[in-house]
Amino acid sequence: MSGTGRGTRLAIGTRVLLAGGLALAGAMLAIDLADWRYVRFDLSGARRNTLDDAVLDILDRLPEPVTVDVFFRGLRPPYDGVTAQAQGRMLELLSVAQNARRNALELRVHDLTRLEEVQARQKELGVEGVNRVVYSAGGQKSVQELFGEIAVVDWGSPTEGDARYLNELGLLHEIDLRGWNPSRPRPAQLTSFQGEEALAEGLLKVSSAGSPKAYFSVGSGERGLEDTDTSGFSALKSALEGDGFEVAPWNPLEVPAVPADAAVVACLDARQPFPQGTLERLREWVKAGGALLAAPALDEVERGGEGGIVELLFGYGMIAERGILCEAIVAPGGQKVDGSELCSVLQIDEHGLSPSHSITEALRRRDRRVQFSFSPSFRHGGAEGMLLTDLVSSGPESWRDLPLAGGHYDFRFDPQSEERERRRLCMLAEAVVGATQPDGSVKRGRVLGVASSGFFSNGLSGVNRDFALNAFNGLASREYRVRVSPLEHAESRLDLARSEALPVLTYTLYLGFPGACIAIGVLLAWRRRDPG
Amino acid sequence: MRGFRTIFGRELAGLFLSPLAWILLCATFVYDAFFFLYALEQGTGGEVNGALYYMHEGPFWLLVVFLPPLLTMRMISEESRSGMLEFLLTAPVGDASVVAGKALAATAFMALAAAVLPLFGVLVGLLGATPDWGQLVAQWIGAVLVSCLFCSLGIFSSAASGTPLVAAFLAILANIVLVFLPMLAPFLARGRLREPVEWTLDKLAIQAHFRGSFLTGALDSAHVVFFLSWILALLFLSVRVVETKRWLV
Amino acid sequence: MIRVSHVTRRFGSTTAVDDISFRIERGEIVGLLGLNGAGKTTTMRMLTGFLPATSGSLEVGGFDVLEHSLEVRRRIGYLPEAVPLYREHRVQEMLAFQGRLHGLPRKEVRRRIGQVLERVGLLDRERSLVGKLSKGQRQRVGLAVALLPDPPVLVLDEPTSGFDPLQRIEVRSLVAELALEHTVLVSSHILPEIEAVCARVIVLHRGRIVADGRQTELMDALGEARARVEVAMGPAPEEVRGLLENLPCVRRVEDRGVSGAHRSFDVFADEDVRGTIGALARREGWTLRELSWHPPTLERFFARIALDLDPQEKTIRATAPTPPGAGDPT
Repeated sequence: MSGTGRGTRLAIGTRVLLAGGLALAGAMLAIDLADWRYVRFDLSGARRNTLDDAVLDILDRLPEPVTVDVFFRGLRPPYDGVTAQAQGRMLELLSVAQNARRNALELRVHDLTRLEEVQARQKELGVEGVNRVVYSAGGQKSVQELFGEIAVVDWGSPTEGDARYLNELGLLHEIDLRGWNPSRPRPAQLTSFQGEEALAEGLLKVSSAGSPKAYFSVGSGERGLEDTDTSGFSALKSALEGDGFEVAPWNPLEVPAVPADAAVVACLDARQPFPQGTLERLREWVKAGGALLAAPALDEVERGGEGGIVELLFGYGMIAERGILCEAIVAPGGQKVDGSELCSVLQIDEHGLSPSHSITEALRRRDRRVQFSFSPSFRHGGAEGMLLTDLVSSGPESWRDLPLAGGHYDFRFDPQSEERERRRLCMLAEAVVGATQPDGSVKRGRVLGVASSGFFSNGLSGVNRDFALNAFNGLASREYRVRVSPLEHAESRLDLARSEALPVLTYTLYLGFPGACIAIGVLLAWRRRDPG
Repeated sequence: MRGFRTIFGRELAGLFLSPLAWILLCATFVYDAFFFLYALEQGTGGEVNGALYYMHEGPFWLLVVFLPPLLTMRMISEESRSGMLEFLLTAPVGDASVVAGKALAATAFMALAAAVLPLFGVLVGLLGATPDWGQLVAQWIGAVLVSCLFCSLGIFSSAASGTPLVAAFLAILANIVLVFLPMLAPFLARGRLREPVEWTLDKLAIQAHFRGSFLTGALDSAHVVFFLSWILALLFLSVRVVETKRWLV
Repeated sequence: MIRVSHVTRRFGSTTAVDDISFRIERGEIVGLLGLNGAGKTTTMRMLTGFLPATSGSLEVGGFDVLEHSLEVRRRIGYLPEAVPLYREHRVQEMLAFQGRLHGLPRKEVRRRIGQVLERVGLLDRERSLVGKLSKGQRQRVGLAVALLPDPPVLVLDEPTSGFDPLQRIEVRSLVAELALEHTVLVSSHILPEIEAVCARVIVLHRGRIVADGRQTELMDALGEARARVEVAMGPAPEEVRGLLENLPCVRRVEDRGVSGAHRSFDVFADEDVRGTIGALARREGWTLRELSWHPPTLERFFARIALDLDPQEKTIRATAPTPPGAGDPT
């Protein structure tokens, strides 16, 4: 009776295929549609799926979707654990964020073993390096470092090999080896995790309207923005661009007026006087609400001189003083010595960073340091209409080392001519009265003075990058530090060492439950036997 | 509805009257016990939420790949041969009720198997470490949805295959492919095809839709729709295939 | 009650059922007769809605089988040849399942289970597992299942297959009883079964209906009742033949030739003419070795059909004309 010809089989087959296609298409469309408007309920005890309201607010107000590219790679032991911890937490946070607002945030986690793909994407984004999180939207992007911005890791007491490894990765600076006691080894640990805040910051940076422009003065003997040697500023430029700034040179000789679209003007390292009228124009610009960052070269401070950065800063109460600021160093034996060139390398930690200003406060919280090398210092002067704040200061034992007859420095504390006291390395002058802008807002002019232009050079870019970015962001009024509460997991622990828990578990799980199962099955079979 | 409930009840009873179901349930208990204890002792040092999370992240998937095909393999293929299908299809119940009743009976059994882990949760709670109930409930709900999807696939396979053995084999194969499909993404998504391929694979990514919400204790409407869409699509297809069985006899 | 109009069913290049039409009125018991492969099961499957017809329409109780499939299924109790039952369940559970499928309330189901088991004679087996029953008992359970919802129409496919002669008699009497309250369509390839139980027969051969009518009327339509006479050699054959032909009600006489010391004749007549032949023989002084009456049987007819001896171009229909108004749906 049965026997289908090819014709019927074909017809039936086609119908089933059509039905299949319909079902497939329908399902896929329904799934896509469901993503358009969806709700999530977080049932977990610690609300591990719920982002802080502050971050959700930022996500909701994004003008366009943000793509987050994650380039994470592990570190070799003994740092694999702490790295995985930090990376894991950030990935989980980003995943929670993405799931909370799938239409606002696209998360792309890159497998670094797929080299070609990663390189292509990094080229596309215009970034490089590993252990970074890149936020991009529209034409803007913001790069965050895993170590330093997202998480702070205490590397413990590394062996020489490990230290070299970390140094190569840019995670440890040779000079930081000083002062660690090898007889009390410490393992690496995750000191703090600020992923939630970093996420907020990254999102805000790429969603602001337009990239702020930072103009750097050129043509007066400054070292170049493109210079990649130790004293160049190429690292600063790329850091700023990575943070969403547009960096452009400004030659006052060619373009006398201060660029109207400048968010920040940076005068760094001018060794010759500026063209005539430049300083007036800058002062006018600051009065009108502009933000200026200025750092003199050591040359200029030593020569003294007019028409340059020193004069500019003088007008704002920051008087550059001759002499290299030095501090005694701790020798291997433990005693404090001077007389070494190393004395001119100053590491300023939380003790020298002001807690009352956002530029330095963030650094303090993250246990960051800044470094000055071969740097002069400032003295307080007066400035009319300006409020002066000390942002970075040296320790109380520091002294200004004066040059010897031949122009060299001995780095030795000479009690006769030199004094130990706290000196200022960075100061901020803010106009008391703000100026009304064309768009109606009121801006207060600000000048940030840093005692040494070498602070921003490539050689110190690793250590000082955070401060530099904070400074530029602060000057450009991009204050994105948002207080965000962290995600947590609920933990509930059984004390396995206690005598009862483990054996009870083992017996119940292996014997109790399966046994009950078998018993019920057998009982059922027995009751189902035929009555005859 | 009444027809569906009748068929569902009979199929579920039928499952429990066969030794296979009890063997599978027992095996599930032992399997879960092994991995759970391993996770507790070696993995999380006694932290129960982590251990339960691990269970739903890893070992659960093996169960959900192998159990539904074994439960559903006979439901249509064998009945077709024995004439039971003819009986059901000439009874005053719709074809859809028959198919759905079978699929959901298998799902009900899987829900029971999936409830083993919450049962473990109760046990450790009694021992002093209360688990995160919200997370556990969400994990169980997700497990039931995943199971329902694989049971529907098993029913489809049973409808399309001539013998239970073939049905089980094909269903297991399909399950494995589906679970591991997203791993193919990097290889398939190249160049200009990247976006459409990624879009398609995302619509089939079963693990991702479980991990993105249920696993971490969240209930996501879009993810629930994902599972329901595929379940309905598969059941719809199964009814179509069962209909063709009338043509071929 | 049942109306089948020009129904054809093709499976690819094979035509299983070829343009059949028939009507079955309420209360009739009809036998579907045919060789294996004649189309009986296919026809039944189309009636129950399991199989769609390639063309034509089927109606049960006024409901079209395809359009109102569920209504039709509620009205038919179908017992397929394979007797599908869940072997792991008890008889009572199987019946309860059927009850629920048909939407019967629980109390009603309990009552009917008792009733129906008594009907098929399995009241003592209510709690037995179906898988443990003998084939005959399972068949009866299948019948009980079909009967449970008390359907107006019963469709039974080969209900006696696999039984020994004694069991078959039992089933036959059961079916005959059922005919009193239900419309029954029974199929078989065993002629005596159909003959014994069904007043009306539909004969299927190669997918076509070759005969449809009440048995007696069909036999009348078929004609060919005859008496066999064996006369001892003696009288001249032509004389005997002529005398026989002249008897009343005799249609024709065939000389079958010599068989031993006797000559055999087939006397085709409208009624039993043994009496008259016997009187004739006595008058003429013939010695008769045999005088027997052979009415036409369905068996002969069927055998001839099966062996393709009588190619039937036209269906032989012998149904009493339907009185107006009777035999309407439900």
